Amino acid sequence: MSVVSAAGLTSALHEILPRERVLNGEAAQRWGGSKRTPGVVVFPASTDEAARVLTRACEEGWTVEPAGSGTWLWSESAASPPDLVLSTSGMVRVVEYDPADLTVTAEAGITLSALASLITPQHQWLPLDPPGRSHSLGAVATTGVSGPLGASWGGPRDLVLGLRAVTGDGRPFSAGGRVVKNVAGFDLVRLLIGSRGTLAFVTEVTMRLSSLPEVDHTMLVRGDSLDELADAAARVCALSVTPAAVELLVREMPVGGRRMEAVLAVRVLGGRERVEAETAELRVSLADFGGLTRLAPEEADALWREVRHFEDGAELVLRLSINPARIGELIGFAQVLCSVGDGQCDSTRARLAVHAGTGVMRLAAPKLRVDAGWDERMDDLLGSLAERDGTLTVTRAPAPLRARLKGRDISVVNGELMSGLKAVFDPSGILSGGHR
Amino acid sequence: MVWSVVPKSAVPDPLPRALADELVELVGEDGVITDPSRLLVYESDALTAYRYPPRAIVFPRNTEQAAGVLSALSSHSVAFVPRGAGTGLSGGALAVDGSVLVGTTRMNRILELDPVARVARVQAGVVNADLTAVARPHGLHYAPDPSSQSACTLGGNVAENAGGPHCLKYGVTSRWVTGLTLVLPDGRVTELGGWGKETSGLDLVGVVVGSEGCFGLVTEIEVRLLPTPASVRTLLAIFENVERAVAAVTDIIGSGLLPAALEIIDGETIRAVEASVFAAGYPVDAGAALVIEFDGTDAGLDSEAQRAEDCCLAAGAREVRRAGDDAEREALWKGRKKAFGAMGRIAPDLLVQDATVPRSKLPAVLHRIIEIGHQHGLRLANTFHAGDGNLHPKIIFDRRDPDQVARVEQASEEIMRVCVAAGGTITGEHGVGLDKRDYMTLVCSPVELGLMAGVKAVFDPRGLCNPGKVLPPVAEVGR
Repeated sequence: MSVVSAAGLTSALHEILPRERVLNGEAAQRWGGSKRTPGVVVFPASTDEAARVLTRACEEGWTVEPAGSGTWLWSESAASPPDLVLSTSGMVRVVEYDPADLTVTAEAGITLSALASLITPQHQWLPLDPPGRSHSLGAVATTGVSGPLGASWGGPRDLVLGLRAVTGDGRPFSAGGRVVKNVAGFDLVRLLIGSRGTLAFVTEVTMRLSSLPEVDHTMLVRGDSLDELADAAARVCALSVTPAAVELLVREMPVGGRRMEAVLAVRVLGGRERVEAETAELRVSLADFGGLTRLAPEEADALWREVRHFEDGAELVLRLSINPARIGELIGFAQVLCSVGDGQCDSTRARLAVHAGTGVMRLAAPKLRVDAGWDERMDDLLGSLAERDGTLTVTRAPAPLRARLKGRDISVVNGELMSGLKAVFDPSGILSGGHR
Repeated sequence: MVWSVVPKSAVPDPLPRALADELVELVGEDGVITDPSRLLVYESDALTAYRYPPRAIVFPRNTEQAAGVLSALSSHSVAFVPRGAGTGLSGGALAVDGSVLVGTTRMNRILELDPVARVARVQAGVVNADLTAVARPHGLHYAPDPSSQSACTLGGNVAENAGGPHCLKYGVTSRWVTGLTLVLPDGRVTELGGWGKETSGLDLVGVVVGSEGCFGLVTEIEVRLLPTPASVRTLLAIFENVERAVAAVTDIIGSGLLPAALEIIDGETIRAVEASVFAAGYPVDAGAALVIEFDGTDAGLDSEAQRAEDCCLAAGAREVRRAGDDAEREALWKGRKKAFGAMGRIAPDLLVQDATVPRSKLPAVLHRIIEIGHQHGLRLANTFHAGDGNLHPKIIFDRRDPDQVARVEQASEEIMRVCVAAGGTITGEHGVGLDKRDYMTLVCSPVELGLMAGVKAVFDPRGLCNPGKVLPPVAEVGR
């Protein structure tokens, strides 16, 4: 538990920031998990202001949780709530956008949708579709999470060119730059991508953009069983055409006597002639699966929105990954994990979103009420994954489960390296609950 | 680093007897070279301005031997420098300060190639082009294609985060490396990443790629392979000057096309190539040539090529050629790929710059670079990855003339300053190494250099791994 009072924190912060950028009491509640409230929420308006806050926090030993718009917040992951949440929501300016360079630099609090409204008129887009809604550019970069488009465009680690950030002891710095190729010095950008706020508070992000594709088609494959759909996904991934995304979406798992409800979506984009030729090739290849149904644009939008919002409101969200060639096995594990023990387990309501091209499966369950067999099934799953060189990471889970699963994929040596790196950027360990 | 003050080759102290014996025991008699005359081969990399003969070079055959070697060196507090094929252009693989070289060329086995998962696991000494040669029968290839790909090793590519002409569409090395086996400087072995292995921790693969051999010795590399494009269209557009070629590039990108490569060769380079054994049939009176390549599914390629041709003609191209078959394609590429080698005819020495600028700044920056050459009375030739804004101006000179060398150094620094001022950086793909170490202060603040030094110290707390590279000495940082 924190020893500093919210009132003391607030008055200390008022010394270095205008009052309206410091929230406390009830106003800060939204920024907590269901049962925990941070002492104060702070909205710096610039890198310098963020640096002032972090310098002070480091001196005083206040714990700090970096955040964007709060959608991916710590959610009960830390043992105690942070003394303050430091949000980028007050930093939403576009710093530089020259369409001819196909790059944009913006402050970290800008949302992906705000960014899209800036670049779409220039026929450009940011080919990222991470899970969640209204998330900020900074959050996308620091969580490093990619969605279905990761199969063809890579994730934030491939699209972020540069960052500006503040270390845990208040030192502002830049990493990378505004050019697409840059090897001047060690790659601090990739170190920060996916660091989940443990190393620094990111204030500015430079992204690589792409031209909007002429045509963007989504086709559905329907199957009678998950095995059949997984086979179809594997077949698509083995073709020489590389779809932008291959997504197996399981809305209802065939467990507990329920009927499976699932689709395989294949997204192909690019020039018209190419898309038509590749679609024809997909049709031939998938003929014995009952072919492909092309979705109308609004249906396609709805489907990809569903995938993006797939985790909304879920109490348990796990990310499992495996060599993409073995994706079918991963689906099998999920079915076993969520199979019914006593007929009362809500985890059977879990749904799956499988990014077949990258070997990632997201599992989301609205409520986690574990039955007697859950622990054993989870152990089996972890064992099976380890045997196959796969991993399981927790996006969201109740604290006990989270603690049990945390860092299991990290070897002793790598753990030491990560702790050492953390100490370089955050010497007093105040950021993100002291996580690596 | 200033060449004029680089010390002449000094013969370093021999290794302590006990250490030399230990190394021989680990890798065999033929895996250790200590004879100074045989070590001369290893005194520089492809940037021959710097020469530092190593005390010894050791060639482990696998991770286990490499771990033994680093552990032995560490226990004797002897520094080491990883070295692949020695094709680097930044002096990164030089044994400064009495270091021992650890060569990867005997670690040259392709350990696994999974055509279904499209991944390969290779030892660090595997030559870049050899991997594609082995993958080709499976309809696959390894995308990053540095110009030295027929000689350079994948370990070296990882160290430098190497690029290449086709990285415009496919991205550089870091995009395709999914896992690494790293021997830390104290001899401990650790596995980083892995295809299909998301981690809840930090991206250690990401930070080791591009670390220029300063964090340890990478012994094994897992890479993703891509399907070989079904079809390719290659064009060569001839322009009166470089500005028009750059304008064509801007139009091509602006029209939404994504070529696999967009490479510009200037008139000076064209004339050097055409006068050499690599003559590619480019017109010698041209001011610039632009190589454009599209690849992928056959459908649509012709119309993309046509649109690019239209952009070139609109920008004032006097001629656009299209390759009809593989032989013609090779011929069109020859002028670009052999540009470096052909320069050898013109002058004994060549300094290749590697700065990168935002693409929209290319015309202004090129203009300034040409001016800088004139101001210092130097001959300059330009070939560059135009789509990426990655410039490779080559300064032609003769090192025997100290006055010329001083002017080259001056011009080189000015070029880097111009590129940084335009929002660019000092190196896009060749790395900092020894050569650009002292220019890091142009692009990094003392805080940033301090963080980088801190990151290095996490992997290499005793400073035994590739000392003196990438980061300027601490005393220089504040200047």
